Amino acid sequence: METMEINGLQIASIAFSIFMMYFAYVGYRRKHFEKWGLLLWNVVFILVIISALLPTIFSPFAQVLKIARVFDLFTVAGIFFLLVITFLNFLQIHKLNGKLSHFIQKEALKEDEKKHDQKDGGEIS
Amino acid sequence: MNYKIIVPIYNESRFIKKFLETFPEKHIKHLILVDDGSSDDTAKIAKTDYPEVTIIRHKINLGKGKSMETGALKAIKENADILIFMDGDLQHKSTDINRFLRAFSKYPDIDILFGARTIGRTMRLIPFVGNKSLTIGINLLFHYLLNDTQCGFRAFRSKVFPKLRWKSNGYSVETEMIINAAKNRLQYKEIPIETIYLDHYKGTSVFDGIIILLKMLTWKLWK
Repeated sequence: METMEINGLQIASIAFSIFMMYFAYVGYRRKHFEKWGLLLWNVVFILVIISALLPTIFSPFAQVLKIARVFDLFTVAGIFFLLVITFLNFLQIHKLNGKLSHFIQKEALKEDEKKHDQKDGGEIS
Repeated sequence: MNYKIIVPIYNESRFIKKFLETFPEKHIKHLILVDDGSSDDTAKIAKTDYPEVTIIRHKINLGKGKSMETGALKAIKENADILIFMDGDLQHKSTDINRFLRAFSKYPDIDILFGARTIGRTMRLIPFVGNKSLTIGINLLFHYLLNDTQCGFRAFRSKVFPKLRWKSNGYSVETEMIINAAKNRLQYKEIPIETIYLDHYKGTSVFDGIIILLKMLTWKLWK
């Protein structure tokens, strides 16, 4: 019977994924995101565990893409994933920044108007 | 002529009183101070000593560009014809405001006036190099010939605000304003102003300069 050898990198990947799944769960418990967020991140880290344990199942993909080793495929996929996440973060931060600035400016002007109204009211009475 | 003087301020509690003392009586009621989320008593000190000054408070720090925009929106709401911007760190002299007002009366076709400092005599080396590089860059890329593109002391007619309106939050606001003016072919003039270089200077850093330069290049391509 063939025994499966697990190397250091695989152990590190699995440990990292389990830790991150726990982290995602803590985030969900603290209501930082909804159920779908927990599900999405768990799927991502389960995929990392599967790829660490059974890297050979991705060999056909590597062949199709003409990538010599499965490890290289993971590296390329990892870089793409990080780029997508960075881009989405950039979009979200940019959008939030705009909304926040607009809100703070509106609040500041509204408060000033309120002060003026109170002053005017005072003078009339 | 109804004018408003817009001054963005941030943590200036040590100097705000001194800054306001420099203003002649006739200008005080035209002042709009935009406190950009100061963590000290800047706004409180200003309000106590000068209740006639309009003070608008951002609850959190948004940057110089956004403070200028808030001030401009307030000035326009109060039907100002002329919007004058200056820094609140005692670098600019309030007596120079009259120069801007006189110039707008003298040249009715002028849309925007830029203050120009006597660069080189008293400015330190790094700001001097940064300022000159950005000024040459703007002159070359946008054909708007100015001697000092980074001076915060400037003024424009309120009717051109929609054309000038900037998106920059921070120190790139001065550059973006010039680029918007150049792209909309606004009539401009430079006015020599006096500048005092202070030890507590906290304006544009080298890093800000690089950001402005990069933004300038992208604005050339996409704006």
